[in-house]
Amino acid sequence: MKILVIIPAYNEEDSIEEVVNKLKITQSEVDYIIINDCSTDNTVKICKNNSFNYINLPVNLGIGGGVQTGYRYAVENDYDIAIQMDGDGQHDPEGIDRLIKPIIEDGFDLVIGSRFITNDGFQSSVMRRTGIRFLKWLIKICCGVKINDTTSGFRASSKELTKHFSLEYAQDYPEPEAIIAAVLNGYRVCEVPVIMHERQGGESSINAFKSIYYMAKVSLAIFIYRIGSFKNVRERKL
Amino acid sequence: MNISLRFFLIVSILIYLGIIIHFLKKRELNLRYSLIWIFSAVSMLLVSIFPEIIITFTSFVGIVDVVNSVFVLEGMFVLLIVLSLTAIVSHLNEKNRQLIQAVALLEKRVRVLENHRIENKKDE
Repeated sequence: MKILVIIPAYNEEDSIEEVVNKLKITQSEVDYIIINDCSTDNTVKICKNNSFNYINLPVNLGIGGGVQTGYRYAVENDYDIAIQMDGDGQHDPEGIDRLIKPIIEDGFDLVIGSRFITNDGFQSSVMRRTGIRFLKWLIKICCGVKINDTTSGFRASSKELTKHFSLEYAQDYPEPEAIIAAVLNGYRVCEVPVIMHERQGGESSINAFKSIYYMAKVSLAIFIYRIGSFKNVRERKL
Repeated sequence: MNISLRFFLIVSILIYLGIIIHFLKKRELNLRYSLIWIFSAVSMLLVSIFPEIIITFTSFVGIVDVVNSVFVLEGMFVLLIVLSLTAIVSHLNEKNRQLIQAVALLEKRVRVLENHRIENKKDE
């Protein structure tokens, strides 16, 4: 079973070294790839000096395009499971075992690491939690799947879904859209509890103004997927 | 529509068509993307030569003056063309993204190969 951890990194010089080293220690049998999305700080230098395994995007693509590069890498190198993990230290590599278990044992395609099931660890701000709750409600109504932590960037995908994502993946703020795309294309999605920490460095890409745009865009995406995919939903493993 | 307005419209549209064809001849415009421009020019030309079309349209939609219908028609074409431009940009954006990813993946492979070579040389 070949497992790849995709670490999208944009200006993560404060945390990337620690994150990767911790990953190497706790999960020695998994491979990882850092996607440096044209960072303007010393992220590349750190990767180079530590001889980390990294990909340099020549042009900034944003989180969606960056993660998708990782999925393409996973497909090219024939990995069975691809895991997305943030480079800012929010996600604990210890949680990887929990993420891959439903894929290996129960044949799930997308497993989301959620901080809202057991409510351990860092819980994010009130504002952000409200947004996440709204998305949870929206996804439940439109797709019939209950996902608590819809914006979680700590997730594992099966080989088939990785291939799907490598061809088609939402571009900006892709996390909730990826869940919707997976569900409506007939993939099985579930959620497991993980513990998240407060970011060690860098800044969140989401601020108050962007969050409105975020909500509008995600709602529109759900709507479009919903009206467009009644015919496309594959009768797979149902 | 009086005769001088029609004359003005026909002449302007002919110039407009001339410019489009000039660009096409110089290959400054992709034929694929110019079809909508030509379509708009031809439609406007038809309306100017046979104003009965636009007069019927005017009374049917309930616009007071025929000239206003001409403006409405022009506005619609502009919207259509701008929308098609956005579609083209989106398409290019998608292709561009795929290219960037391919280049990045190749760059990584080259880097790994180069490092292997350097190491092999050292071993020798």
